[in-house]
Amino acid sequence: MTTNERSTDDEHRRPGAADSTEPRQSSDTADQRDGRGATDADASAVNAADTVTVEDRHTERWYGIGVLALLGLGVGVLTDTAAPLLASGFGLAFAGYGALTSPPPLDLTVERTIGDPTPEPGDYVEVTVTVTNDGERSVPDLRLIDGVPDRLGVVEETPRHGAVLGPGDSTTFAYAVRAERGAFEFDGLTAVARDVSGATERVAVVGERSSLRCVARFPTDPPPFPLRAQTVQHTGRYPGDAGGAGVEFYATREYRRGDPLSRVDWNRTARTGDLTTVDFRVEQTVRVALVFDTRRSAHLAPSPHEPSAVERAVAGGTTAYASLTRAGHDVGLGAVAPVDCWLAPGRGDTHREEARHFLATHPVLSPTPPADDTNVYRATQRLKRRLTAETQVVLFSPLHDDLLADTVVRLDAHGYAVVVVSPNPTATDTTGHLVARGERRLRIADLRSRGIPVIDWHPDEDLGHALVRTRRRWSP
Amino acid sequence: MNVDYETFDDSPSPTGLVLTVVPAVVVALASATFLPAAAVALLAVLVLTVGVRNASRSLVTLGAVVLFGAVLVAGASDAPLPFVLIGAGATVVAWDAGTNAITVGRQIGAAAETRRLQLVHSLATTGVAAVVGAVGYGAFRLASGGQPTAGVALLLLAVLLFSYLLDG
Repeated sequence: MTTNERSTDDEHRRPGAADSTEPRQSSDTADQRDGRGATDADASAVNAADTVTVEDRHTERWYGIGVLALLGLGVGVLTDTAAPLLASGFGLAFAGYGALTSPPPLDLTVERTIGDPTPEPGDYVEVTVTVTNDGERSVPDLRLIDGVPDRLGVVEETPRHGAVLGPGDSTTFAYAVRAERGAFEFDGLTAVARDVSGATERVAVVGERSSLRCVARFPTDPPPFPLRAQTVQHTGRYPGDAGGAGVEFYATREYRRGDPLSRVDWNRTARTGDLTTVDFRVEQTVRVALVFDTRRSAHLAPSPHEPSAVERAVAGGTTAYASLTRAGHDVGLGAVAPVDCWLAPGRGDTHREEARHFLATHPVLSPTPPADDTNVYRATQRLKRRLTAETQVVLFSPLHDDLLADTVVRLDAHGYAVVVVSPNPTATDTTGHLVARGERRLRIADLRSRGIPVIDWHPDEDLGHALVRTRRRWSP
Repeated sequence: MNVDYETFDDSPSPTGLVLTVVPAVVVALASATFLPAAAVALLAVLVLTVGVRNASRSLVTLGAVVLFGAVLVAGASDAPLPFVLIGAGATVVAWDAGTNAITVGRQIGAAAETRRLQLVHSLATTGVAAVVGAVGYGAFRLASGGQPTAGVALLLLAVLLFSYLLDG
């Protein structure tokens, strides 16, 4: 499958260039995005991508070769022999060699093929690049560097290639990148062509862009996600902390007038003669908002090579969404972030697709930290306006500062039952890191002492494991 | 979550090393008529090898200058003229291949496919060196009837002016 788009932006690759395109895409609806993905898939390699020469530069590599001539002349004259004099001729000739050659005009067509433009996170995506020389002169020294998006790491082979291309010849190279969550845009390919002597090099960016969209699928068998106890609202599937009609045994009590006869424990009546009513656990639907702490400071990781707390939070949120909707709850998505970010609670296939794209490509949930600081108070106010009464909040935060811990307490006090999932981003290598680790522990202990469940999620741990480990000492 | 990402290895490729060392060894062989010169040339081969391995442009240049010195010493001690010309030409080819390998390494790395690119570059330089050697040898043969040294010096002066004009 090939995606070809004419480049309009021929500058050199800039850090963050891939990210700058994200807000545009996220403002589309999920349906539009799917539609565009389909047209991308059908487009074939049509328009010959422009080759834009950026600059010619002298490499000056033959400068100084004349020293050989001077050496030869000197030795020849001093010893009165002909051979060194003749040898000095090389120094002179090569000093002129560089001036005699010139780089050929670059007329290249680039075709980039991406194996799977919509991979899963962690997939290895093969990228094949074919470069054809459309010019009439051969290019004796062509060095190619593909415009891999900054956030994608190359895992196999290399996105760089060297070739000698005669007129009409083409060369192909392939490499693989590891897909990360998000939408990515490949930049144009940088071509460096040298003349045969290497004296002049011509640098061009060949305008070929391709996109890669990586959206995680929801896990098929998510671990059960714990919620807080809740009073009955609507009949659903969440086991509430109240007796009534249901399936699971809850308690027995004395018979009261009006109790359905089917719930009378006749065995006990036969034994004792008293009428007893059996209460079953009432199951209910809960509205849940998954809220992500994506402030700039929350982009923390134990080491630069590990996923950040935000990245893990989104992965955990994906699992939680799958688990909670499966249990029959309405799940919404939001964030404590500089800009507004909200997906109203819901479930069903449409909502599921929306949530999938929201989690993968919403700029607020991007793995790149935002440029602006977040006003936590305003973000919380915004969130509270969105939350209806009785909505439970599952907050994903590394809990690296008191600000957010206070917010949790405040939300809880306002009647929103809060569960905190905290990806642990702390390291133990320096004293400062140890202090931060200790402070975070105190924050967690404080929240727990207020009756707010906190799931402390270690870096190399599965979320399901963290849930089980925490649940052992937590009664909702 | 450990992923083996390919890191960019900017060292010169083995091809570049071979293309540098082979002409350098040719120089050592060509200057073997005078053993001290051959010994110096072998030392220069070592310097060139280390220079390319460490991607050090100055070491490669130093090696090439020492190599050229060995050729001149052999030439001054009455080595046959063709050997001297081959040695001098091979010196330039070795230096060219070495510095080119370093640039290729810096730009597209050791992992990229560069064999053909470097081979073509070295072949072109070898071709030019062969032409220069042949012209020099022919000029020497022609001039050796009258006053060889003066004739050669004049010829070289003409080449110097020619290249100066071209560069300007």
